[in-house]
Amino acid sequence: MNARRIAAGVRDGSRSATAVVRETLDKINAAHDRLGAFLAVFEDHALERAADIDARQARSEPLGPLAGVPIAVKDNICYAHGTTTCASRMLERYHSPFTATALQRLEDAGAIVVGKTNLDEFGMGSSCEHSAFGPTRNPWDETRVPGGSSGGSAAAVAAGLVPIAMGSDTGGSIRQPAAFCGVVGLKPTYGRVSRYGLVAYASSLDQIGPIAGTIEDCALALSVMQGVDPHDATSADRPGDHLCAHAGSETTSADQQSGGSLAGLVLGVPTLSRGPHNDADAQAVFDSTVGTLERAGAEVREIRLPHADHAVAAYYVIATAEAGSNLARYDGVRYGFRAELPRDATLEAMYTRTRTEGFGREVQRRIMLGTHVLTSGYHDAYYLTALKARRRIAEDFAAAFSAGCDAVCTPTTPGPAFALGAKLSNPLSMYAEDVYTVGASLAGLPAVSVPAGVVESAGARLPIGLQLIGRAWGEARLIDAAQRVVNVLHPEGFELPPRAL
Amino acid sequence: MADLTPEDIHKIARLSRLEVAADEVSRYQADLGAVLGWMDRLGELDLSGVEPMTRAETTADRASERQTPESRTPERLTADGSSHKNRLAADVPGPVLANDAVMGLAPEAMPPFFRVPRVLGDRGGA
Repeated sequence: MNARRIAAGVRDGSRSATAVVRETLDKINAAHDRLGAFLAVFEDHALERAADIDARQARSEPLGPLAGVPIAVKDNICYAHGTTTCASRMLERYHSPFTATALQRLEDAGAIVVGKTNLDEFGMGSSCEHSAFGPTRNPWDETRVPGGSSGGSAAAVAAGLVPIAMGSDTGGSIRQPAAFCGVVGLKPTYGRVSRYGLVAYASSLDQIGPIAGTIEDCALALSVMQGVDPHDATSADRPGDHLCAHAGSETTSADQQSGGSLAGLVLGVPTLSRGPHNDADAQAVFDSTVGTLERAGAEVREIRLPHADHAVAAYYVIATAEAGSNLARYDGVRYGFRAELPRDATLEAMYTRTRTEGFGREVQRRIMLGTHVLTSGYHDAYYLTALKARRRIAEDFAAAFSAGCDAVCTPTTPGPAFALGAKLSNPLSMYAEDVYTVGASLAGLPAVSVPAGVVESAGARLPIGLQLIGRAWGEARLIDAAQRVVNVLHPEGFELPPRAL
Repeated sequence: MADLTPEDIHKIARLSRLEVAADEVSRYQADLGAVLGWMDRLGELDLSGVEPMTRAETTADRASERQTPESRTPERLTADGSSHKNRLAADVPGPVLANDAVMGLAPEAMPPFFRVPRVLGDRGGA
């Protein structure tokens, strides 16, 4: 399912948006019991939108670049239809009175929201198991996690239910599930996409981005979503119309000049990428992928990111500190859940009961960590130190780019998708999943995960992701590099999971 | 620093407006202690003279070019030499959410007020 082709067909009248949406809804319903990717499906609403687009097509009115394209939306992105739950009891019945800017732009371009996807509660997790409404399963092996926190979005795309899904990425929440599910996930430069309407987890890190079956569709979605927004003072006024220029399965002009090779592409591979934390099979896929790229003409440079070993610790200090502050707003007063209490209960008791009953275990753990690292007496040792380490981590990337690297290239994750339940009892083992993704988050850099290869594990074929990290605002070059890499690695397209629809 | 006492856990929980049941205290001691112990590794780095980085410093865009003269604010130079300016919106009224729509989301409301348990007096607790 390719978004660009769907939109082209709907625009020229050779496909009806209604038929596309009906087919999508059938697939979602068929896969629901097996995957649990969606928390809500907007059947009537999506069909109404499709009928409207078809009517406009019949009247020869202009239609947008995503006309009739069904999209799924991570349920921490506000939409003025249905609920926005963040996979939390706290917001189980919350109906957002407004729509997130990035989502509004996709709708204005003709995209049709078919439903909201599962996530780790408030985006806090790397497996989609920390959802108050049950886990999502990986389409490649239903005994395994899809990754997280945008696990529902990645699973929906991988299973062929929708061509594009919106995710959000704070420390890897788009890239890691994209890698686990064998699809493409792009975290934009911090500030590229408005955060207005993205329910806040860690505001200095959160970014909305696309997950799709092709780089081209990621680029198309990003080009529509991105751009300055008066509702988000951190959104930047940068041109974005060139983002799609280099994406697509067609050979690019650069390929033609260099005979389809990667000549001229400089990839920095940090020593960290060959660390002891890697699963042996995943390491073999990474090494062979880098070898393939080198043989295709890429210049591969070993680089050092001297502070990368400390990035996960710095990330969890900063993210939990911001989470503790951001989630203070859930107090049972203005919206969301309020605990049932005796009439004579105090305000303080109402706050505490509401938060204790409304938040899941991992969210409570992160709030408590965040409270502690900001407490007088610990603030300097944890929070201030993490912020200083953050600068060092950003400077390491800047040095790699000034030395001429077009992209920094790492595995997206230390290994393939793990079994449901495998890391639930040990938070540190779950946090260690983020070793490759948090660096770009802390530095605010754009990064994309593309399928590298597949490993066999316990009878299942499981995808392994390759991460490319680019310069700030360098999405066009990053997308171009990723497309050229994919053309070399997967000339016949990506392998799909069994039973993809 | 990573060894947390039961009193520490209760203090952190109280500051977080969360309750920790008696039979959960030891689990929180273990979980939070393990994570904090691992965060302590940041102490290995030599970070003397490094300016804290509170946010991604990629947002130094061309905001100033769009700003009206009144909204211009002093420029700050950061360690990496890039300039950052506060971006202020023009001070004019814009569309806001309807009061009814917002009050309708409240667990308990008496429009135009939110209802909360008693705050002041004998049984107030905030």
